[in-house]
Amino acid sequence: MNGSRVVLALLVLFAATLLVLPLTFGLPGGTGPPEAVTESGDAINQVYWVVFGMAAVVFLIIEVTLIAFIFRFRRRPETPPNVEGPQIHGNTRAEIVWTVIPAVLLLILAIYTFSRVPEVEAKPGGGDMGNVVTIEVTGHQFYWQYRYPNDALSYDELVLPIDRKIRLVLNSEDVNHSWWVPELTGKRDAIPGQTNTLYFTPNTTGVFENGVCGEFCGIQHARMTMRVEVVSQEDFDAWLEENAPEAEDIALGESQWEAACAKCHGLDGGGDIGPAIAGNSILTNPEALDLLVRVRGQNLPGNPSYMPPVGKGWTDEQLATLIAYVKSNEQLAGPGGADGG
Amino acid sequence: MAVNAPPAPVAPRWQESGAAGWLATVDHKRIGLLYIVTAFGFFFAGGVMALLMRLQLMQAELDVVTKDNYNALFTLHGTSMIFLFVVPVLAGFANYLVPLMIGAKDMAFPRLNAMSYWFFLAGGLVLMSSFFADGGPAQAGWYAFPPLSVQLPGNGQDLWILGIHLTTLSSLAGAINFIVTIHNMRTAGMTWLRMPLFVWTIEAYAVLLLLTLPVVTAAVTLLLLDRRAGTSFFLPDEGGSAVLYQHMFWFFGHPEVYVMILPAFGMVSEVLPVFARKPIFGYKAIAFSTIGIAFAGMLVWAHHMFTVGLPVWLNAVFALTSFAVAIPTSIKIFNWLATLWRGHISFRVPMLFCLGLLGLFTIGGLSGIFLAAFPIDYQAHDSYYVVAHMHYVLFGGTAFGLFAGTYYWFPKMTGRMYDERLAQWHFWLIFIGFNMTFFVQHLLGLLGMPRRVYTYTREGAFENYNLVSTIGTWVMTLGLLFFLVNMIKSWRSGPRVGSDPWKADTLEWYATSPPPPHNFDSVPYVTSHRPLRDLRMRVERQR
Repeated sequence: MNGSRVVLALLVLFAATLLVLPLTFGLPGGTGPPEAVTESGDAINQVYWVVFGMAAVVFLIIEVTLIAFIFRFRRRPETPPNVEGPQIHGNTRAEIVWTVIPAVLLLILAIYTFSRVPEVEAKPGGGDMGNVVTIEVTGHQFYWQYRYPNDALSYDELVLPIDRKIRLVLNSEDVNHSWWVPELTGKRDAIPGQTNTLYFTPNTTGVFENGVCGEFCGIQHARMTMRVEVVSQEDFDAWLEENAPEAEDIALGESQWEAACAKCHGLDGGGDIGPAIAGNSILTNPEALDLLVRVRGQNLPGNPSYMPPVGKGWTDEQLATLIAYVKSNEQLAGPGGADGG
Repeated sequence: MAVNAPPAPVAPRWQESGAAGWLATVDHKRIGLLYIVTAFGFFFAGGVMALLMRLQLMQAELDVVTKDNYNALFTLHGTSMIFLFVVPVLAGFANYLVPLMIGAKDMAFPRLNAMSYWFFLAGGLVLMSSFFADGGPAQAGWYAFPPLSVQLPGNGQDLWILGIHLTTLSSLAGAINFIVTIHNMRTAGMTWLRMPLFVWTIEAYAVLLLLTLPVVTAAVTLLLLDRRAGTSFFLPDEGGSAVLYQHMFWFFGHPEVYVMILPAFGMVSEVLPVFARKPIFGYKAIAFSTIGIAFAGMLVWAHHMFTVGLPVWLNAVFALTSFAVAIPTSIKIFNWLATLWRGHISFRVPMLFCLGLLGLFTIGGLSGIFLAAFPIDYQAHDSYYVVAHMHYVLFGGTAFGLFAGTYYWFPKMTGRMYDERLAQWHFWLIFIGFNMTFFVQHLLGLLGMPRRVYTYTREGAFENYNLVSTIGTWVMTLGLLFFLVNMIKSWRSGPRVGSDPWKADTLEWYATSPPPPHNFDSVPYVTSHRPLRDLRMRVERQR
């Protein structure tokens, strides 16, 4: 590379890249975590912005100094090759300054962060007595199962009342998962053998469709998505009543099929990463289905398409509901399987 | 007639040229080169995996690779970049440079050194063979959390475990070798505070490996027993604990980050003063901050586990220790900046990569503070924000440092100069491509893109960021091709150089380029941490 002009041009590029980058944080969606609809989510965002402010100052100090030094102290073409800079080996006062200032900044940041933790964790206080809605969340490969206070069930879709303290009791039946809806609050892992709790209070009604599983859980991790609908208290009560447990609820069975079966075997059972199962007699045989989905899954020697026990922990009613849906669907049940076949 | 003639001198096997000489070598320089070349081979393999992943994620709902192949790709990309590229390539540089820098003839245990290399190669081949395993490759991610890693069928995961065993054995033997060499084989006059800063970082590298590798070896051994021997250390259904593995893994996994970044920092501390024509600012501060980072780095592992439901007070403790790491790290950055102050900076490529590291690692360091503040981590954990952060540290930091070191010591290792023009192309393409690829990933993570998904459904800005990121990987690929061509071409036919083309400060430049098998005929008495400059000054004064 010859010519100091090219070098200068490239240094300008270097400077521009480093300084323009932060501006992209101003692009849509790039300004921190999405706006939250809970107090705990707001608290997280405020911690984010405080850290951002401090980081931005430090970032600018370092990058501007770096770029300024690069320009100011670049070797000029006329400098003789043997010339050295001044033999400065250090400065104790400077070392103390740039040790103590970051330490103090970090300490302030830590104190501020910890002061916001109660809001982030949002554990119910005395005033919340009777206001807490507890929902059991079970992570499965590759769907979320929700059990409401009246034992109503839903899959991959969570309905919540506004302005109530929500208490999610998280567990997993198979591998590690992580429940994450960015608009609501931070994520919390669902781990087998341990119960985690996540509290938050939604303050806006609406549908939040960006729920995902945060922790890699296997082949269809990317499809372990979910939506959360926040509704008014009346609508929530109505929803609970409508979805109160009833035997062989075909609509529930359909969502169970979509969550637990269709992600690998296709909506119509025609096969995807799992084999085609439409018309397979196991689907309507309670004993065989029990063994397959609740007990051991399917692991054929030499067959890479391993099936986890997707219905581990299901109740007998859940199994019956799924079979009822399959039987109601001629294509899935196959000849002789459907009711009145 | 020839009966009484002395026998012709026979070079020991390991000094021979040709394949046999390389295979049988116990010479630290040859072993170092074997390490470096092999590790770069795995780097390109891991890079191809990354390219395929980015193609798959270029737009929503693509089908470039299958779902299980995608999972295998990110698993083996992470595993090979960490276990087969960064750690061994640093072992390679340390092998080549530490004995030269401290004025020694070789490593303390040359045969153990050779064994380390062959175990590394074997481990790498075993890990890669996972791709062809019966029942599919390993696909549980580079940290292989159970129960998933126990549940996955096939032999790929077992090969992964065996590969980890072999590479950790290799690194463990290497670590002991480095420690013994540094403690016992320094030349006359080279006290601890006259050691090159790169050697300080290798001391920290080796001690961290020695303290943490046994834990990960134990963890993956228990994992293997869970998979194959019917035990249930990590299986909650049978009374085990899935979280126990995470503690064991991250007890190794986080210090591993410092294992990977500290020697790159050491390279910066060597290159920066030479191209600024100034002594390093705050030698002691940089040396001790290396030890400080290593020490604090042992105490932060659970910041990878903020969302697993540990008690909040414990999260707070690990947030504090993680914040603490930022203090010695910023000491390093400010001392490097001060080294530039009033220097005469020439922009040869080793220097450009160092300056790039300074600019980019700062971003990776600062995003680490966001993640250490655990409420923010509740949002950003396991999202693309973490992917971006980690690559700013490990690529913007480690890889930039490595490229700086590769160009800087290329003349020493080969006796030839690299091609400056091709190297400039390499730097600028990598610098631009890297930022395109990874900066947008911060934004994707904040928008809610989790790691390790083979596809996504969201459109708009979400999809556009992904597209920019994918284009960036191709810009980087182009840059890396310039690197590859440069290395091959210059090694074969680059212009010859003398022993000290950079007018450097440290003893490796006192040996010829490349150095003879025994390194030095004599080593000057060391009176400061810049023995070669001292020598140059003495010669000039005598003129």
